[in-house]
Amino acid sequence: MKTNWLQRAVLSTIGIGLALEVSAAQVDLKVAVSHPVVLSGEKQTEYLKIGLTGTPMAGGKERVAVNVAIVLDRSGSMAGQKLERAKAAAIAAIARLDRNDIVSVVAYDDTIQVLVPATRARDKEEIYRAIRSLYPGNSTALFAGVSKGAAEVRKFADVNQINRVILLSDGLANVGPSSPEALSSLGAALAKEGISATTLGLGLDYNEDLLVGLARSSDGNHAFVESANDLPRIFGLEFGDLLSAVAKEITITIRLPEGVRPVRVLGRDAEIIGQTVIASLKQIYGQQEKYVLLEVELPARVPETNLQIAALEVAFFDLAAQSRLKLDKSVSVRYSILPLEVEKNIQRDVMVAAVEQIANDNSKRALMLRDQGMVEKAREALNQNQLYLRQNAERLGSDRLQDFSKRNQSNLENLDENNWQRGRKAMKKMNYEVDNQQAW
Amino acid sequence: MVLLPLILLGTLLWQISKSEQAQIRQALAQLSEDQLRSVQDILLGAVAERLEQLRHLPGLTAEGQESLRAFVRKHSTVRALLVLDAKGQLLHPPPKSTRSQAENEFIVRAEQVWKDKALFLHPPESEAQPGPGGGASAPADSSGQAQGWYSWYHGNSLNLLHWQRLKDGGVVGVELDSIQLLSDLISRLPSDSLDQSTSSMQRIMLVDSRGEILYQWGGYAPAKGETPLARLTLAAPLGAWQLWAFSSQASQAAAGAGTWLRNLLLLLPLLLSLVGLAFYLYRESTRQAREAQQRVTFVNQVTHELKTPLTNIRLYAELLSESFEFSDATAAGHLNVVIGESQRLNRLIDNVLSFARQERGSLRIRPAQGVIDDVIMRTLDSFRTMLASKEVRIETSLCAAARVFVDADAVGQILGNLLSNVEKYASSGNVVVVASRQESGRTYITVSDRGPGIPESERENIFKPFVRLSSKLTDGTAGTGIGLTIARQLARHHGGDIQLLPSQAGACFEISLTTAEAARAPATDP
Repeated sequence: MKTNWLQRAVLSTIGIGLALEVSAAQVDLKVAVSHPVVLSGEKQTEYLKIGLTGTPMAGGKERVAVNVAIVLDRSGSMAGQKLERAKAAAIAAIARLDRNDIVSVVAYDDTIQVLVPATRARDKEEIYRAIRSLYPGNSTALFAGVSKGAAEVRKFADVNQINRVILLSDGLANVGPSSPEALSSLGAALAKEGISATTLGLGLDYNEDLLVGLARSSDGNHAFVESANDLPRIFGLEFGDLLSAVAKEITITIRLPEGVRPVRVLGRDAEIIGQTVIASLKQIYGQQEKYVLLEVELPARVPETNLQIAALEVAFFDLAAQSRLKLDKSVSVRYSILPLEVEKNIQRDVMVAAVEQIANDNSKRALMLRDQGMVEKAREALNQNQLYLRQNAERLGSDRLQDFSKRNQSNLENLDENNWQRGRKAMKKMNYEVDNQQAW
Repeated sequence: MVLLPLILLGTLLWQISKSEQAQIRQALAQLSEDQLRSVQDILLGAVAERLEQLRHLPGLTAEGQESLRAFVRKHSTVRALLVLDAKGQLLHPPPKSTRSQAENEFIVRAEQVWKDKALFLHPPESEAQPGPGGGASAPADSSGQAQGWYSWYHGNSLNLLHWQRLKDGGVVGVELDSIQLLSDLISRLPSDSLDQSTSSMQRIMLVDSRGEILYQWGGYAPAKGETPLARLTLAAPLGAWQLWAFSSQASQAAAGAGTWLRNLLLLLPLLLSLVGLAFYLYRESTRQAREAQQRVTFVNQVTHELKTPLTNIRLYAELLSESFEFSDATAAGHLNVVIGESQRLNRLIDNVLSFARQERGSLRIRPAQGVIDDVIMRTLDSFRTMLASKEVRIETSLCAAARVFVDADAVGQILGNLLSNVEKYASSGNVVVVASRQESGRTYITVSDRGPGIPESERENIFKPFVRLSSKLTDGTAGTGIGLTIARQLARHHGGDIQLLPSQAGACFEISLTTAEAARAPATDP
């Protein structure tokens, strides 16, 4: 969360009030457009970035309780190191919880075992003992595992806290609904209830479409955990997010005036109904920015006219204030006949976000090509993406885009048959991470 | 013979254990069915809760698009919502330009619903009919279908709609999120424990219309293709799903072996004793047979041992009598006694042999061609000396000269026994009359004497074996009591009998024989 004072100063001299920071308790809302000054005379493409950053709870304020269900895969393929590491990682993560947190542990193979029914994290030894008693079984009733985990969370689900199901899977779901569509539907249903699901894919044999689908529709995190040794670290990161949450149930409503056409929302899923765009997030974590990037088409106007292009309303439940809060903003642009002026005023971080999302889209398209067997075409697409990223990284002076281009390069190298099983998982993880601005 | 009851018993056991097995299975099936019904109650309870949520929806339809959209956003049970007016026009979702993507997808998904919307607006008077897509509406109350369920397939997935009639004649329908429904049902159904020892040895599965498992619980893992112990097709609107129950107790191997083995063990002592009995009986019967065989062999051997020297004695005695010129009548008389006694001995042995054979059932008559009168004469000849010594005169009246089939030895033995009796008991009459006659295949021989006769009461007794009439005259006389017995047996074997005819003085025996006429043969008479 960098505040560009210089940029703000420039903007304020132009006299157009926008990109003001509004702080309301724990969430900082930052709204910006890529081109505050647009070229007059013809329709223009504009990117509108609505950024939300969590302010960590001030010292002295008690962290809000979390309500988390850990759902562990105990199918036959987890036997040995994998299950042992998973148990250890779960135990280590639970160690970080305190008396007010609620934890439950569910294991699944053909059937479901509720090892630790939802309980306050007080008698931890009992909880650890139950987890340690886990041993491998047979097949994979993943859908039922998530359902039972959600049931445990539901017992204490509260508007006042983060409700989360953490799913660990190392293989293909084969008992009960097992398609990505089914799990996506489940994620969406859970999201409506205020429960989000984080999915951790362990090894090279899990179904990445399924796990990403579940995470995406419920706005949880997703990780590709190649080695079981990474599990403690990953669990740690997930719990880190959970314990730093500052707001939940965030709804962003963007109303556009007639003439301003909403084209698409990049990255996230959002509803576009006429002139209204509605997006939602399940939670905001401290010191992390999540954003909604909306592409709009501006009408042609004569120079030196101002146009309010969007009216925003961000509603969320503030965990510190323990109440529902609302933030309002509106955004305007100025039309200019001077291309140079337009150029000079480009908002860098909005452009970075735009490039990031477009490059991510390219990456997703390349993945689809590769899925259809068109390896060469996929390679071509990623090569072009590489160029795109490098050019823009330079132009915008963005480290973020540089990092992205490195990852894009590595994806390029994993398109071949030998590496694709791994490559696809890495690619899907990256795509989701960029869509969702996941911090890890 | 013992094998048959064994087999029967075995079959009986098998039947019993099979029917026991069937009974156990039936009882378990019943139990399982009850269990499945209570699971169904849980599931239908969840459905009822949803209906509860939807109760105030008709009122909401008046409040506009945003209210309806907010309803869909808020309720995880609801995937999409539609409102039709009384004419069947779509009120919600709104016209295309103002729809969200999700709403557009719903319109596509629900194309079957639009085709069948007549079901909601003008539902049929009679039974609910299934729509072409496989949906059916169930009339809720008798006051004319105020609400109902409708299900249809889009692609592979089954979708569920609940509709309610509005006051203005329109319809509000809610597409239930079937994934969310399933997830909710799963969360209400039991799960398992890790501890295998306490886990139940049964399993219940919730399966879809293709038999794919949606959710399952229970410690028992049924074998591939194992048939469920009990099945229950869920009531509407979950009619596409079934509950299956499996039980390890019901699987054939466990039950079958158990009861069959148990029954077998219980009846094992009985079986063993049966087998033992069979064995014993077998040995017993063979023993008797063996012993009988031994006896037969003994009798045969003894009589043979006796007869052989006896034959020699007779032979040499007769040779002596023929070849020796006796100057001394006494010596001749002595020799005659020797011959006579050896003959008697011979007859006795024959009687014993015949008796033994009769007992065994192997007494046989061997008819051959011969003349009865010749046989009678020969027999009389052999008795002449003996009878003469007892001053018994022989008178004959023989009219059985035809050539017939006759067992000469048997006839001789019969006659011999009668004559012997006369010699022993009736010599006081001083005469024996032997007469013979033949008529139509039968020969009759009578032997009568003027002895003491036989009392009326003893007429049949005398023919019984070992019976000897006691009187002062017979005491001291050796006899076996089987003479008449043998005579009768032989006569009977020869197709006839011996009878004691009534007579005023003495005894009169009549021998009757069946004697078929023989063809004329060249004369061979001595």
